[in-house]
Amino acid sequence: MLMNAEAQSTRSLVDVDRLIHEPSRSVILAVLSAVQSADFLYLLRETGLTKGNLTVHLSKLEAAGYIKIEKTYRGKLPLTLCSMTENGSLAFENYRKQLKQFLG
Amino acid sequence: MEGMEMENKIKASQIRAMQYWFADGLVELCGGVLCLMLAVYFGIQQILSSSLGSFSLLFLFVFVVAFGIRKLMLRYRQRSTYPRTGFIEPRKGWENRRLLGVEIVFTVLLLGFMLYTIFRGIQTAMWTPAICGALYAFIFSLAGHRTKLVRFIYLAIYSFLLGIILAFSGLGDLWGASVLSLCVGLVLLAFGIVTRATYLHQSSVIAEDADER
Repeated sequence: MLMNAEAQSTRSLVDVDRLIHEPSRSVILAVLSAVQSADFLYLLRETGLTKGNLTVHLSKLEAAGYIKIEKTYRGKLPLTLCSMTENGSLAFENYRKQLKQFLG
Repeated sequence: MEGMEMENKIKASQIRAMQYWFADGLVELCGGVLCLMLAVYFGIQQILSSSLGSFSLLFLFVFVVAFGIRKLMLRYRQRSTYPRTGFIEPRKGWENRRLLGVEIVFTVLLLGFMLYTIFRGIQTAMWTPAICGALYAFIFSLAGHRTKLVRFIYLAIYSFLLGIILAFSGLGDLWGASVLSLCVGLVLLAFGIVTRATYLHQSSVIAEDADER
């Protein structure tokens, strides 16, 4: 019985969404799950990534349909706004469930 | 262990994002100014002992000024905070149904208490500082609960206890409310100044480049 539970929790980690199971991307999604939207600068400071790296991670999440990126202006300054999509929200919730299941 | 670390990181990022609205100290500063205005408002009411009409008119004036202060704060934040540490649009409060439920229950309880005292002929006026204290405490504890910032919990306890003390002090309804608002306003201003100074010390201006993507 114990073996079964252990096997199940290990399986939950094997099945985990690899796109989210990366520290920087999980932090990006964690931030976006707590707010309506966040800009590039905030995410840059929160993740501690370089601009190039953050751009790559955001592009991957956008390609997977987990986030939406909107380019706009605040006055004369460019503003990149990121927000979570319905898909992203579900995927992130599912990922956290799996993580919690694994942690017991 | 990796999973545990990941979960902790996720939680910490979510909490930081929710605390961001209060990170620059502007909310406390504006709240402090508003409380001082309320203190003046209650003081004027006590001195003039004016009619219900002017009471409502003055209250409307405070409400309009509060709205103006909020607008000013948002404009200043756009120039000062967002270029330094970025922009976040917080989730709307009413999207959290549990929180909305708590707010409704509290309002109904407060109104119920006031109606009960009116119908039973109990002097509600004496309880004005306590009611104001409970209102302040409720607002602060909601902020504390949402953001996990301990200073709001302390503020909630402080305003609740102060409200009760002032209700029994014999200062009277409006004087009591005025002193309560003054004390809460001063503490809020102090918190705001410390938070603002810390924020400015820790952050630096980083403008988002045009070619970041």
